[in-house]
Amino acid sequence: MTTTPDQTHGEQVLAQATEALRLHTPSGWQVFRVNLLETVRRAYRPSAPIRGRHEQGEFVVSCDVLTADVREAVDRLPQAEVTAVRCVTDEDDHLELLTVETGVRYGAHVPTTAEEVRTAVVATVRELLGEVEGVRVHVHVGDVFQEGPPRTLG
Amino acid sequence: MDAERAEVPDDVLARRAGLGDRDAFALIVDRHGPALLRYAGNLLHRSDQVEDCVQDAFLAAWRGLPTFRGDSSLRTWLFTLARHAAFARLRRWPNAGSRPFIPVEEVQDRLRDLREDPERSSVESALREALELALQLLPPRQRTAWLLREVEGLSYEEVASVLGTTSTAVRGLLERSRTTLATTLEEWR
Repeated sequence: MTTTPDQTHGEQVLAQATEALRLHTPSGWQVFRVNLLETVRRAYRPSAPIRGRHEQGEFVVSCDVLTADVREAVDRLPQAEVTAVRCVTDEDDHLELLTVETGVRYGAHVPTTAEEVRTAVVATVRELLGEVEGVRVHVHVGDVFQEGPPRTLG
Repeated sequence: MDAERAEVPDDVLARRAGLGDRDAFALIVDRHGPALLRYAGNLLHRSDQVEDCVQDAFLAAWRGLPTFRGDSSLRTWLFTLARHAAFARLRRWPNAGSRPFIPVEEVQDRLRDLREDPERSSVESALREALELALQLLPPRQRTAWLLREVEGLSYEEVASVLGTTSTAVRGLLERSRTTLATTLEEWR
């Protein structure tokens, strides 16, 4: 909204006031932001349970946790990034299939990169769930990217 | 690093946040939070309601991002969540609905006081406050359409998506809101 000579006085005032409002950052934003991020950090995100195993028995983690760990593991690889993670469990919440959809950097050798992703994902599953058996890991390369986003946003 | 962070597109941030990346979500909050707070602030006015509304919108976003398909832009989706949260609060108020919250005469009186206030800090802040007063004369849907189009720069189609209506209806809402605001501010000097 800009001012023009054929505008009424009210329209010109409105245009100037709109510009002032557009540039205004609401007061209290910085304090609110900190509280908001803390609230989100504690927020529960609905997610399917997955059963893990250690020496003393079984335990349950959420698919959301596994997804985040898989993303972090693949983020360490320079040639790949995760675009989606899907978990399939049986009726007792044991992980049966983990599908990791990835993009690979342009020019990277796809089979080699996919194998690196698979190795990283399998290690992550073992680290998080223990020595679970019968888990299939599928790596699906569905995208090629030229220049990836920063690996670490923090 | 800040420049790199600023260049990360919204769809990448949405995808990463959906995969549990809280740093990506914090970047979404930094990028869109002030606009959502400004929108909610001009719709609800009570500071506790405003912050609760924006918090609800971002919590809904955090929970919804794993299934966010990107049918609309991230920004449009966030404004839609905020609009739902704000309108839900408006419905709880006895004088909500399609009518403005305060009488025209009251707004005119307050505008006169503001105009004659020798303590006002600057022309820009006085103009902004005058506009914020005048906005109270608009019903919530008109106000939403005007704020999203004129202040936040959404397209007609994006505003229609946020309001769950058509672009033609948005043009009508904007026409009426501009007329009301310009008329209200006509005596401002």
